[in-house]
Amino acid sequence: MKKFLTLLATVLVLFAALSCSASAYDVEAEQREACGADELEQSLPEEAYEAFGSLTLSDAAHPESQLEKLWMFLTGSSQDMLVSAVRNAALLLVIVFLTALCAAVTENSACGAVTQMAGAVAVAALSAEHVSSCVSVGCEALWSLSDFSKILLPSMCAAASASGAFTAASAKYAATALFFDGLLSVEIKILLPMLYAYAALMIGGHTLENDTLLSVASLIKRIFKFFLIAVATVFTFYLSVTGILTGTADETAAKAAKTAVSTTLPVVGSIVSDAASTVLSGAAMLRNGIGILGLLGVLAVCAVPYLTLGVHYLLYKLAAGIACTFTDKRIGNLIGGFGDLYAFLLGMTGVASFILFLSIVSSMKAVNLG
Amino acid sequence: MELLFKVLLIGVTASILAVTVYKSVPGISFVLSLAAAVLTLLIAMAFLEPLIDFLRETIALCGVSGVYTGPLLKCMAISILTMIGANLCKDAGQGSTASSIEIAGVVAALYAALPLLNTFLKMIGELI
Repeated sequence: MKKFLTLLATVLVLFAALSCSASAYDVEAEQREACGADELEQSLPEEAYEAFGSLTLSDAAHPESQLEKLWMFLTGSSQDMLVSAVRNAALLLVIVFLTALCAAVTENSACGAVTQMAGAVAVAALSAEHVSSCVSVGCEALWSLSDFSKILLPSMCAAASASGAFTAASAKYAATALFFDGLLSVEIKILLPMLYAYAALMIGGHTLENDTLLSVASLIKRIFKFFLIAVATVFTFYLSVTGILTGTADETAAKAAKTAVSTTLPVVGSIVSDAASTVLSGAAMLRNGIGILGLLGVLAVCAVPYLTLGVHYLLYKLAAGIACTFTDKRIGNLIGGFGDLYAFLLGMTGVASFILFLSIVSSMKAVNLG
Repeated sequence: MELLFKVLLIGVTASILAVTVYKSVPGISFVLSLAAAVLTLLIAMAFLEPLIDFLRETIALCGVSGVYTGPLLKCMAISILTMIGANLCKDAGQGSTASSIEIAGVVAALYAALPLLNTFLKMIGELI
């Protein structure tokens, strides 16, 4: 008996010495790799690096400090823009004042009409110079959003799928990609040329006092507004309905799987089920981190263009109101028309970023199946 | 205010004299009108000087390019001169001459506005 026990102990010691040590399986690292979190951190837009420095998933746990950094970036980079915008509005008012002076002196003269037309052309030329720089700001923002969405949306979809929302993730990714790419194509190929056409019609209509041109410009303005509002509304509705239907399906599937695992496997069934819930919860945290990273990236891209276009719009509307009080109404309406151009650009950028925002928030708010 | 009273006095006096001598010597009436117009313009230059200084300072402060302001001011000067010249000719009973002066004024104003129109077309071209 003693010899048997000694032999058994020796065999057990040998086994322990020769077998490899047990180590915990790094679930978090595997999930990060599967979701492309590292690629996302390295592919953030340039504006995000300028605003936040380096941005990682761990920074997503402290969004307040990141928002503070964004605010500092915004206040720092917008000072020059604000000064330039105010200067542009002041330049316009100087031209308008000169035109009003010329109109007052030459009202009953044969050259009065030529003088007023020259004034309107001067206002249009100055405003067109300002608008062209803002068009490039808006277009750059759209392209940055497009490039960033190509990395962000697949990562978001992978993270949402890993957290258990398989059906919802793929449906939302498909809807967002479809709407966003479609909107971008329409904005670049149709809306931007329409914007230029509106500018030309509005300038011609006010300079030459042609009601037909002004009517066509007004029609283009209505089509613009209708299209942007329709896209935002349809996307919101589609995403909401998709979220409800697919969320219910995912929840049902997850519950069925948990029940099946815990009842099928004897003894360890509930342990395995709880371990799976823990993994899903970890994936949900990763999903939320990617979502916050995406939101911060989109905010960094859009913040300066929003501010630039918004400030220009307000200043032009103010200048139009002031101009209408002491000069010919057509010059005031001309300046107001240029203000509308800034509003269109703001709408185009705004709807594109709204689609991304809504998609990210919707994915983050998916039901936690852990 | 004193300068304005002087302008009013000269204008009203010249008009009364012109009306008085018109039936007997119409030529003198025209010369009186011309003299009154030139004199009042010269007096009005005294008002123009501070206004022009103010405009120059504002334009320099805002940094407005001369491309926008130069043609406008030239158009205004051309319009004023055309208006005075045409009305003087109408006073003298020379309607056709007055019309010719007006047409010449319009063409001159368009020529003065040409750099502005060129700049405008260039902007539109860049926009498109």
